[in-house]
Amino acid sequence: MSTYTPPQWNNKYVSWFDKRLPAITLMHKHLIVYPTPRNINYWWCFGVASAMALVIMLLTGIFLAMYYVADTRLAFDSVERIMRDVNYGWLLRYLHMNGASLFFILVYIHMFRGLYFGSFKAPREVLWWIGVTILFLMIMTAFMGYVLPWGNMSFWGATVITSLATAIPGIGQPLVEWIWGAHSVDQPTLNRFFAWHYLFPIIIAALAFVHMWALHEVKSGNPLGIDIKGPRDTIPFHPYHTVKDLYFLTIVLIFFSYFVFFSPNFFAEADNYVPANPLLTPPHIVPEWYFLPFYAILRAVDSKLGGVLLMLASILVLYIMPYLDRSPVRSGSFRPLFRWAFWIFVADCLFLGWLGAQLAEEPYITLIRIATVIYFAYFFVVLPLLNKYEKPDPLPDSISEPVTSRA
Amino acid sequence: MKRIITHALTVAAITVAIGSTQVHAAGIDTTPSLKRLTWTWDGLFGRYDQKQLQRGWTVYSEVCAACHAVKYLRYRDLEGIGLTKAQTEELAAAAEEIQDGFDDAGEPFFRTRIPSDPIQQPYANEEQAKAANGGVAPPDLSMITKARKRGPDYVFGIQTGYPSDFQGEPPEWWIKQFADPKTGEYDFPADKYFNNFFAGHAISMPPQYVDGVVYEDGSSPTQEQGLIDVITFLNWASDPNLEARKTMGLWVLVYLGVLAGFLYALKTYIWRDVEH
Amino acid sequence: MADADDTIEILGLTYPRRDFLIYGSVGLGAAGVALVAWPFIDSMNPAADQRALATKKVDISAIEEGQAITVMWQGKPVFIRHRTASDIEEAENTPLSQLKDPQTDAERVKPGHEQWLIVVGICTHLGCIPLGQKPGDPKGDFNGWFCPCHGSHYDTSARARKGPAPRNLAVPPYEFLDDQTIQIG
Repeated sequence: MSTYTPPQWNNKYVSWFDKRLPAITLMHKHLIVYPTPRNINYWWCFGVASAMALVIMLLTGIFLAMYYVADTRLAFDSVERIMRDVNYGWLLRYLHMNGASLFFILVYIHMFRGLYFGSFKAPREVLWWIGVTILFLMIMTAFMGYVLPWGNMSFWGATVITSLATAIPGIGQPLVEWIWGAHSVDQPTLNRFFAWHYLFPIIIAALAFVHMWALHEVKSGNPLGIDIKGPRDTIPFHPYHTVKDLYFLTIVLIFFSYFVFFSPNFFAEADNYVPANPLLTPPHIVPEWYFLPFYAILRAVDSKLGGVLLMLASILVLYIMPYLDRSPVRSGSFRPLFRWAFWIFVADCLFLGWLGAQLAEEPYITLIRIATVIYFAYFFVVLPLLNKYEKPDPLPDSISEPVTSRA
Repeated sequence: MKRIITHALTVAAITVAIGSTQVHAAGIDTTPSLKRLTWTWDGLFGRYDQKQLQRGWTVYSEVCAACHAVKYLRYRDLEGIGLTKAQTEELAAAAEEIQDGFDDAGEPFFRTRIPSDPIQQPYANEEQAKAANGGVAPPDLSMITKARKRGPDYVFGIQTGYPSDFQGEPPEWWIKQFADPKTGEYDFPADKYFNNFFAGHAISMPPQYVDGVVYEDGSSPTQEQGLIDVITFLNWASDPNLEARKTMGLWVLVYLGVLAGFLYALKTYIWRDVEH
Repeated sequence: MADADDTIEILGLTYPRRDFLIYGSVGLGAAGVALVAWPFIDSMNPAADQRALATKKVDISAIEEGQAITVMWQGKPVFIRHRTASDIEEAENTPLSQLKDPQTDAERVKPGHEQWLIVVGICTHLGCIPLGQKPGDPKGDFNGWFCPCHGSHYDTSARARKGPAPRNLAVPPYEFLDDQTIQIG
């Protein structure tokens, strides 16, 4: 591994400042000369794309917060005021609304990349754990954010999901009233959800920096899954990956812009354009698409507590990935059996997502149960079995060897 | 190049996969399906026709406004469908006075409306609306095409979905499905109208006829054309920024396309000598 | 590959490929950032409903000579006083040398409507609302308005005459739509 020698800055103002707070040297080390494997492909761009989505959400969110009113009598109207009267308010709102979907799709792909290429394996366990924590915070932030417009789905989604806390034996009811601040989802709930919805993304941003710190300590993985062995394996981050990332971000923005400008309500529920009515439950309560797989798992068993525990387990299981998949071969590219299992797992996740939107009746309930079994079987049965019986393909000698031998 | 196409297709496939999760299980009765109409605002180049919006406003004022409010519209918003400031002032002044606080004696104070005030609503409050309409308040229409799945098609479906003009008369296909096979009896409220697309089929609103409306130029529409006009107006009420949004969207896509082209060329140039 | 030889030709001019791509991308990107920044900045400007209330029509037909009313405009109080003939004479005959903020009375009213004085009722010292609108109010030494906070006196043309106020009460933009109605703003 190459060691870093901080350069001498020619500009006297830069070197004066840098001596006192080495921000310039830091940026030089981590964004300019930072050694990155030469073979990483576009699947490695989803991290920075997720960071872009976070920035979009923070910026649009702050400007929306200048007009949004967290009062049950005024919330819905304040959002309509943003849509109709505030200059470019419709743009801020649609960017924020669709930005949530963008953030989740990018993070999900980023995570699937991690599962396939073994990005959670040593020495990247802590990096992975920080990532799963970020996902948890994102889920809570998005849930609370959806309540804020105080549409009918906002209210009833909040009621259904917060009521899950009553499943906990003994403390369930007092716990849910503590969360609500009232005896049902009401003004205190809306107010605190707004406060937390503003706070959590700041924590997410801080964790994203810690995530980068953990990454830079152990360096990026790569599609071959083998360690960096020398300077021949890496290239400096700038200009190679800066430009490549910017290109990829532009492509992401094209897809994003299509939805924002031409189909902004594609992911929205029509029922949320009706003001909250505590006396009228929507015929079909559905969460946003990114929660659908978890919503399906929640309904896999009849027991309310069982459903809650299964749903939590489906995310918590990600924390123990480093101990479930112990194959010394990191990358799926060299594990033919694993590849089959992985893609079946991906298909199962998509299937669970579709099932989450269906009504809670047959045949969907049985299908949910099958899909849930497959989901957990991947982690607790398939991966450990693969560890024992899989024969991976032979690995190349180094990162540079497969590509430089072409020269 | 192949790589980009592969990756672009991957993103597209995922988009479609996610999109299809939004398809909910369809109902299992044999309701006629919602007609899929083409609206002037559909697609990348969608626009509103201003004359049509004005005709729609006329239909709304003359037929729907008797029972349905549009609380998020103000008189000044009608400048967005081509009315002049003077016309909006006239309309506002001609409307019922609006309460503006209380006078010095503590009594409600009423004044003439100005364009900043909301368009006059038929009922003073929700309770009055319910009392006047058999216990069910006619919903506000300012967001109706966004507040219903496939909103514009749905509103058209509702308006054209009355098999009978009389209350308590469900059609044959429904009776065949739901009547008791032995006695032939069925349970449909005698004080509601049957509607093909309304949830539960029992709607309180009687069928509305818009072909009696007289437009500014003296003409009267057919029932279908009048409905299309008023739904155009209602979609504008739900989404007044549509044209600005789509225009900006086109420029954004063009800009991003050009930028992507430059960045791709720059990327391949920079990477040309790197084995990867 | 020699960089200098790798060129692009645009409109008869030749550029090294590398420079064209870098400057092109950076240029486009910078333009994009500016174009994206504008909606965010503009969203903080007054919204359409605020802008609609930027003007206010007032019916002044019921205000008798010697009387004054206060209306709210853009969140601020506006004094509308129907001046008497003696008020107008006093205002017109004041030498400019006696004024802290020299302005003739004619500059502060509309020609043909000299009996109407319309000013923003916020003291130019530190922002209190001067007294003088109601019949029992102190009008100060110059028969106009008196600010109780720090003792500023305004005359019948609402010009600052005594006390800490540095400038005359502001005249808002207004016009007479007809003899009975004014539009402020």
